Amino acid sequence: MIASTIRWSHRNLFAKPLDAVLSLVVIPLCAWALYSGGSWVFQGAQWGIIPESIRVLLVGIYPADQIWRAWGTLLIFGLLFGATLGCVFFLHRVLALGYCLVVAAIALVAVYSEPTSALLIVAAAALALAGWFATSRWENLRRFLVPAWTLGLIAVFALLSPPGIGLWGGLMLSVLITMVTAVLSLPLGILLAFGRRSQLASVRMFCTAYIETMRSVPLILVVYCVWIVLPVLAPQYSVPDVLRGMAGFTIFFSAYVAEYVRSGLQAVPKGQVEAARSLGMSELDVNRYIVLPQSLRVVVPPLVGNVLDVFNAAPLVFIIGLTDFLRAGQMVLANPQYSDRTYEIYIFLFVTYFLIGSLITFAARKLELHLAKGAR
Amino acid sequence: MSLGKLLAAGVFATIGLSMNPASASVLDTVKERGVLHCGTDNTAPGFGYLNTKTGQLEGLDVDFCKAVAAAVLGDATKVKFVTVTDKSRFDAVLTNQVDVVFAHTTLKPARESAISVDFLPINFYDGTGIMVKSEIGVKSLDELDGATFCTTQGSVTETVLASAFKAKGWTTSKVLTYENLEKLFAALGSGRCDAMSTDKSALAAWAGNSPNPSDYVILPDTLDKSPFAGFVVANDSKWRNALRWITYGLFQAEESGVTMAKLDELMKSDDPFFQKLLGVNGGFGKDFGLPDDFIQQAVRAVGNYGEIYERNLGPDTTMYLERKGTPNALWTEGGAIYSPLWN
Repeated sequence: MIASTIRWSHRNLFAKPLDAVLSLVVIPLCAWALYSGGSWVFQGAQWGIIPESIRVLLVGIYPADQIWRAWGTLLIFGLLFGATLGCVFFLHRVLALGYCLVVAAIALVAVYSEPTSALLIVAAAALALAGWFATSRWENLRRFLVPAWTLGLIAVFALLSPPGIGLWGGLMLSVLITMVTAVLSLPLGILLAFGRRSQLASVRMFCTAYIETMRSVPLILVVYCVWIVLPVLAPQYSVPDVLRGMAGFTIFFSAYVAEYVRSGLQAVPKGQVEAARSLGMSELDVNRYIVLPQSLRVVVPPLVGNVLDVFNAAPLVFIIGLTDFLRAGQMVLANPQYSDRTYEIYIFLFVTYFLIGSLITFAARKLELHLAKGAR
Repeated sequence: MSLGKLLAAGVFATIGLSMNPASASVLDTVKERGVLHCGTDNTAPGFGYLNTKTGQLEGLDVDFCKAVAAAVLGDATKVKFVTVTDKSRFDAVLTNQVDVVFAHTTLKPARESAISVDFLPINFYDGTGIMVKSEIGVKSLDELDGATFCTTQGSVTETVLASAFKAKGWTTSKVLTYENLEKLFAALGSGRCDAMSTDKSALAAWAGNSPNPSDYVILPDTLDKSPFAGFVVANDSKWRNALRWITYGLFQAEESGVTMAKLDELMKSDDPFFQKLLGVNGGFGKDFGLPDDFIQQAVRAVGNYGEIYERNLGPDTTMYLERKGTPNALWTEGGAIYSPLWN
């Protein structure tokens, strides 16, 4: 045992003089960083701030007596998200185990502050699992996915709106902005991508101008412009800040979606289009049945990556006074009582962002593998 | 940014004016709507920040919003808080998204001349302050010749300190800068700096939240002025006057000893001054388009100016900022909180 350890370390850590020096420098440094980080996490940090402010972090200033609406949203999203994943890959035993472990960990943490919320988290997780199982088992269900998402988003809006759209905040707002932008920018982006390849010069020029303009300005500018221009153009309607923010995000990101889709359109071999035309298919049918399905298949991975971009860009809505997840953390820290808990709050934000981000990238990678199967 | 502002101003001037030629006063809009849209910050300790326990916004600015709602609509809960940031607060007023902004905004000439907003009376006097550890026993800035002053990088405070040294002829005093307030405060605690300098309200928040607040002293000196005031859209005198006199009313209430507790007693008073001020018999409100009892309603909701100050910045709060001997005291006590004559 000892001999093999020595042999292993000799081969891997101290093979050459440079390796030895590097190992001697890096290993103690890592150990020290781990030790000091660990001792802070388990001894120094005052994690009490997280359960105390969790509601603000997750839903902002959404009224406490209306919180069941947010839970309803979580259940709906759980089901839809599970169903979407189910289209892409089967639930292996290892994955299911990992999933249950993560859910159990989150639920355990939640039990610590409030038992009912743990129950609801488990319920949402179970719904996600049910959706996953359903769509991976019965392929017929998959064609209802797009209507289900549309209906689900409408239901979520209807569910959350009554106390006032202006009260949305926290992680909930970040997720909603991401969802709405992702869902709305896809059809807009596809239209723009086709428009950019259109035979009609006016359509082509308009779409090109739109895409290039949006791609050459920063997101924060678009969001702010939409925010101040809408009330000037339509003073009689007061569109809530949240909707104006979502509009800004959609306007901006549909240009990016358009470019992704266009790259997919160009990837479809010309022969395919010509073959379809020679079969007598109309231009619309050629695009609908031949070009679009093949190109979307190519661009789905970057599109999922785009969703991650939207999610990570969501904190920019602070500029128009919205309280997203990051801003909610800052709002908690602004309370003089908590101003010395900077690290605790930011680490919580980091971990949450990291978990959600890696979930999206994981799904994207699986999706890529799944789509590659057809191409093999 | 200035070009953008100019463009925006141009857009508002042309579109905004052409669309509402005979625009009604915001006061009428608020009364018709029944809800006040008030712009505040939600990350400014003591002025507008969230109490995570109750989920409610608290602070001096927040209380002013409530006072206005109570005075105009008779109900302090009829207020919708709209979060504004340092960047968006002026545009929010210019595009009528909020009726008034109370967001620790410093009153400066350019803000009233270039951006078309009108400011209300100053309701808090902030400024660059100096904080030292109490163990060194310094009582005023003059005793700090040769000391090491610390402040944040890239802040105006750096230049303010430099010019203060020049004015006092100090040659051995040094300025060290730190990345953020947290590091700055740690440097003061460790003795790396003799004095820490930034906005007084921020100094108070940091000292108040340290494990032992009495370890630190904020010196009475103010190096650079920063008066805070609410503001409304320009050229709407009806609305601006109403708000100005609501603010003055809160000042006068403190001066005349009208508190939340003594309000009911004073309403029964025979003194015609109180009868008129509180709207029991006659009143000042009607000509402003307000109810005659608007001061009574405002005080009933949030108290007079002194009570608002005590609630948010007083000794019982975690960001205690001494009021006595500063401009924030009433004029009768040597401060600058002054209401014109109510007669």
